[in-house]
Parts: sequence; structure tokens; C-alpha cells
Amino acid sequence: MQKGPNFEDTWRIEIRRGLLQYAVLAIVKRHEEGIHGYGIAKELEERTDGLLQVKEGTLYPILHRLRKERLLNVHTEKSESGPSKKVYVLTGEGDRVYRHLTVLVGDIFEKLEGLKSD
Amino acid sequence: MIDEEVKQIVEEFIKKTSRLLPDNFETEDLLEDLKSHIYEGFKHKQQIRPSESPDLLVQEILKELGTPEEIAEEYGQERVQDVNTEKDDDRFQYYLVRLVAAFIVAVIAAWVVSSVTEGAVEFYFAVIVLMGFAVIEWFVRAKQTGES
Repeated sequence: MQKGPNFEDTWRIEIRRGLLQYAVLAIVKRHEEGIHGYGIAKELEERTDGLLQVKEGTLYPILHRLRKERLLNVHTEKSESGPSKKVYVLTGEGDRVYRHLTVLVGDIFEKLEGLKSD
Repeated sequence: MIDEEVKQIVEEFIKKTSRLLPDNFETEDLLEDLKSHIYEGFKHKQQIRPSESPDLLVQEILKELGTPEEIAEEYGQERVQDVNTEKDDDRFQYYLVRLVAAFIVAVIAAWVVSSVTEGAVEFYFAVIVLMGFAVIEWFVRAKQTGES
């Protein structure tokens, strides 16, 4: 019988998916002048010590979703190295959602800490 | 300066990814993003390691980017989430408005055709044919955009 991913691996993938959207908003928020996809991927890897590191290509469907939800805006910049690159900035709504999620994430971790047995 | 061999590797990767994604504007946008990411990464790596072979650098970037299959899977996951968050009421209203609009256009077009041909093409027949075309167009478009 073929063995599928174990419980921890599945759980890690699920929780990472949710946190990734928040982490992307947090990174874009840090760059008021905007940041391109490659920059987001690199910062995600460096700032989370690889904990939220993803295959970089899988970041773009997430960025598209955040754009569709109108949490991110995009403008294009000419690039010498190839096609023009997109620069992502947080929208007003994105900023509001990010601040709301920050409180929520803080609350969740605080409550989870309280659940831990002594 | 990016050599032809690197461009060819990138194009091959983009083509392979595009085959796994639905054929729509969103996909085109995503592929442009991926292409731009690869060239940006290539430029960055070339600055750090100027003497390294361009082939090796681009292969490194593609490895970090993930396989076309992994990208398509993530794209599919995001679309599922998208569809799940849509409200059913909004969907019903959207389809109803679309159906009414198609019907109005078909009636007007049928009246014009019937008038121009002085009744050679029967009005009701023209309405049915045009509505048939509208439904076919609807299905084709839904298939292209991956809409359910």
C-alpha cells in the first residue's frame, strides 16, 4: 500500500498556506514604494528563516488572488533584464485587512499559548 | 545581455507551464509574471556570480521556481478557494442578467435580419438560431476560463 504524507506534513502545508497570504501582505506593507515578486520570494525566505519558504513560482497564484481580492495593487516597471516587471503595493483595503489579521494572529497565538499544558 | 540558449530554456519552461493551465487572460498574466521573475533572478545571480555559466544559473532559478506541475497545482488551489468564496446569490443574479441580455440582443438581431430580408428569414426562427449561438458561445467561454 502506498503511504501518503504523514499528519504533521499535511498540517504544516495547510497552516503554511493560510499564513503565507498574511506573510505576503506583511512584506508588501514593509515596502511602501512597492516590491516585485522576486523580492517578495527572497524576503519570505530570509525573514522567516526558511519556515515559510515556498517554491517561488507558487507565490504568483497567491499574489493574483490577493490582487483579485483588491488587497494588492500592481504597477509595471521597465526592466533591462527582460520583460517589464510588476511592482506590488498594498491598497487601502489591503492595509485594513493586514492590520485586522495582525490582531487576529496575535490573539490566536496568545490563546494557543494558554492552551499548552504546563 | 541574455544569450539565446537561456531564452530558449525559459521559453520552454513557460510553454510547458502554459499547457497545464487554463487558456485565459489570467494565465497569460501569470506566465508574464513567471517570465519576469526568471529574468530578474537571472540578473541578480549574474551580478553575484558573474563567471558562472548562464545555463547553470537559469537552471538554478527554475529549480527554485518549482516545476510547472507544482505551479499549476497551486494555481488550481487558489481557484478552488476563489470559487468557494463566491456568493451563490451573486452568481444567480449574474447568470440571470447575462441570460436576459443575450435574449434581448437575439430578439433585436432577429428583427433586423427579418426586416432586411423582408420576411425571407422568419423572425422566430432567427431568434431560436441566435439564442442557440449565444448558448454555444457561453459554453465555449466557460470552458476557456474554467468557469463551472
